Amino acid sequence: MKSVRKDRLLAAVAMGVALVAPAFVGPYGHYVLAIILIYGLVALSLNIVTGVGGQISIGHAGFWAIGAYTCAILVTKVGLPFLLCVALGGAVAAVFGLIVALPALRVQGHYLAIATLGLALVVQQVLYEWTSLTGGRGGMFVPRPQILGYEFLDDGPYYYVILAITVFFTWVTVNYRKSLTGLGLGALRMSAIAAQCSGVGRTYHIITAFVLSAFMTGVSGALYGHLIGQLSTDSFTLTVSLSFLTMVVVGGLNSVAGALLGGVFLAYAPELMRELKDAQMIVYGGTLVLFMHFLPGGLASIPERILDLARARR
Amino acid sequence: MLLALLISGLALGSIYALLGLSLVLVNKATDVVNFAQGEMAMFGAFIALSMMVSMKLPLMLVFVLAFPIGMLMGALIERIMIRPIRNAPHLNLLIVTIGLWFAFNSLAGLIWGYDPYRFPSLLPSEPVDVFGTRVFPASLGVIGIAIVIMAGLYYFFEHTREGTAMRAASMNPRSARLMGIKVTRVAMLSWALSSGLGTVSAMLIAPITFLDQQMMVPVVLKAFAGAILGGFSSLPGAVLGGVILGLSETLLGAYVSNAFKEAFAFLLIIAVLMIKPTGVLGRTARKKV
Amino acid sequence: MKPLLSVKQLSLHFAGLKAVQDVSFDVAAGSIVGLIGPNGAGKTTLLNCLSRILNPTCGTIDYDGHDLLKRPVHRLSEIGVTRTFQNLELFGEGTVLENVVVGCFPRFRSNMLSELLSLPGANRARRAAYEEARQLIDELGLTAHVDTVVSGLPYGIQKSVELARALAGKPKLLLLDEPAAGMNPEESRQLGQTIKEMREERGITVVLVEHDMRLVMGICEKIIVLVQGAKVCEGPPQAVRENSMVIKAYLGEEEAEDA
Repeated sequence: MKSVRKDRLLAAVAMGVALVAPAFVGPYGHYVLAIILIYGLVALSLNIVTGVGGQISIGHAGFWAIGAYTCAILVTKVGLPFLLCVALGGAVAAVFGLIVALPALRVQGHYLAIATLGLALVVQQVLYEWTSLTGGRGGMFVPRPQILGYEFLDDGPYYYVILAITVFFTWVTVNYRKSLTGLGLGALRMSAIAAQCSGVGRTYHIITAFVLSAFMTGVSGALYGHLIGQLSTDSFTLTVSLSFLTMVVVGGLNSVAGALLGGVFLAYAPELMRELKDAQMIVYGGTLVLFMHFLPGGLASIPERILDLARARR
Repeated sequence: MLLALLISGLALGSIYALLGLSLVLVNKATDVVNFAQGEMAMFGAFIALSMMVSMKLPLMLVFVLAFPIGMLMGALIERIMIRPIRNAPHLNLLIVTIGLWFAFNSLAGLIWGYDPYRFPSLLPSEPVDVFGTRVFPASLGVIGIAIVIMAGLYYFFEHTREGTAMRAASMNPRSARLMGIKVTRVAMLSWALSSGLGTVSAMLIAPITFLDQQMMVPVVLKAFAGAILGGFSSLPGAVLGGVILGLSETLLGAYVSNAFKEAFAFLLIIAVLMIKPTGVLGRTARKKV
Repeated sequence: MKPLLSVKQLSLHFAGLKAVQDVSFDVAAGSIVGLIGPNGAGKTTLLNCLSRILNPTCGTIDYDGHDLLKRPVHRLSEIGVTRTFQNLELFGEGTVLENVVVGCFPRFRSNMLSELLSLPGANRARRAAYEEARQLIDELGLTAHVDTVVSGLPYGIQKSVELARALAGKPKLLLLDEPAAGMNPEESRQLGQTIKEMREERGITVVLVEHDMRLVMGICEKIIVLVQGAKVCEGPPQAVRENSMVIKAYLGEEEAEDA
């Protein structure tokens, strides 16, 4: 019970910080804050699929792209309202999640990871080739978001829209993890055989988790497109999928706080690594290897590790 | 015309088969999917090229050394990166291989740069006349080398103690350990063999595609597709699947369209998984409880 | 009276090996049936067929009016078939409570959307499931460990947790795979007592695969003997003990048991 109160306190503090932070930073800071949340949303989605479900996805940049382009196209070429397009971006990504996951789960094994690799490469190629739809390498312009006639010209107010959406999905993720379905998914990860013998259906649980995750990532992509104002194929490469995976590993795969920490990491990492330029991938790759060897629970597990060490000393 | 296509399709298929074999080998022996396989192979090919250039070694020698170079790399990786966490949840091992994938890719770029290198071919590049069609010796060479390697592997697995031990360990690690087989040694050996196979494949591809750091990325997905087509748990299946994929990709490219080759492999994976998930030759792998 | 479980001519061929050969037997409701045989006799394979982890090559399994072979693994618990495992298959990172609650899963789960949105119905069902799990944990004497992560617990407690998880499914038929493995005679005797109580108090039918002869002879009404995948004997303990084929199969093993 103590840990529940601690979590609630932590959440309240985080919420407070999130609400007032924009006041302390300039316009560029607003952009960074928004990016943290956008990445955090992807991290939350991976928390469900990888943290709880134990399934690796190296293709989430594909869902991000699908969400971003779907939303941008619907807003610019069809003229639907912004929020509806964000939801539709998520929905289309979710459909692709279903297409990818359904065949992959017919057999026990690591096929889902391989299928997501395929998704990432195919999406990358489609974005390059289908220039009439996506603008190809030249990219696609995305207008500022509009809700009920109000146009969000600055990142500051838009940040609050993103915050609201992120808070909603954080709540959904917490609910999922607490629920019997979430428990079932975790059980599948820990012992698929025992979970199934206890009545947890493997296909249903992994697919629903994957589809939910694709939806959330699609929404994130849609929000991202409108923040950046410009979609280019460089934003949706295999490396980006890798950076998503790295973000959740660094933050902590199986913790909601870890997901948000991961978002902070990814928002700042390119900055920190600007010097390294081409060596960025080594850093991401090396980070994955090092964390798996020395800190598999990510940064979020540090308090627990310190407690364990303290307890061991006594 | 058809004969020429078939031969180049077989050559391509042989390369996919070798890579697919390496993936399935590691998976069967240690239950890990080595996502870094392609990049390790590319790295090995670069090492070979460097040796050739800096030490002025003849191509033939370097080619023969490709396998042991790859083996050494594989053994080191297994020992340093995989073994310390071999009892961790599977997910962690997969993540490590993904990390290695990107680390190798980037490291190769840092060491050797990002421009493609010409990789010399063992065989003359002018086509010769075979049964009235013009065929590239390189294709025949690839097929020949692949057959030799597979024959060697077959002999190794069926007729040597080490090979039989590996088969036993992959079928039932606990019983194997009880029989005195050192399972950790089997793991290292399978990574070594697999990496050797990978490096050889990379060296066979390099003359065709030029050696550069992105060279293996598209190939890896296709190697997966081939292995899945053959049934991921079956070694002969990986060969069969790779060959089928190589042939169909070449024929499709000639008669239909050359674009979207990745999509083809991806769709093939989806189709196989939907229709016959265990692949053409595979058997359902069940965990022993 | 119609038997609860009826296995007819069940066979499983694996890569040229006949793991189970044409095995038939019935299990009456409310009985405790033992499945014994030397190592490699196919007992666990048979159990795995019953719990649908493996697909038999031929034969039928009728349970409580259901054709079991038409059901996938995860749809057994909902009709009252649960099991334990020879080598323990616990959810290692979870607590005892979490492990047991998974057993309650089919009877309490709600629609995913209502869980995602934390609707009252889903919350009620979840709380009820945890409540029931706690009760079961108390009944099995595991209260002290309710919030402890199972991977750190002693082997005997882990076995109890796995049993609790199987019981949480409110089974009619409980399949136990070597429940007495690793137990000393006193623990084994207590286990026998627990199994008899399960039958008396919860009306559970039990099929157990075992090597511990004292336990099997002590609590089973009927014993089925498998040797190399085929049934060689079926009957009450006395009859099985005196059957010449059984004695032959166990020659050496039986003496080792008595030692």
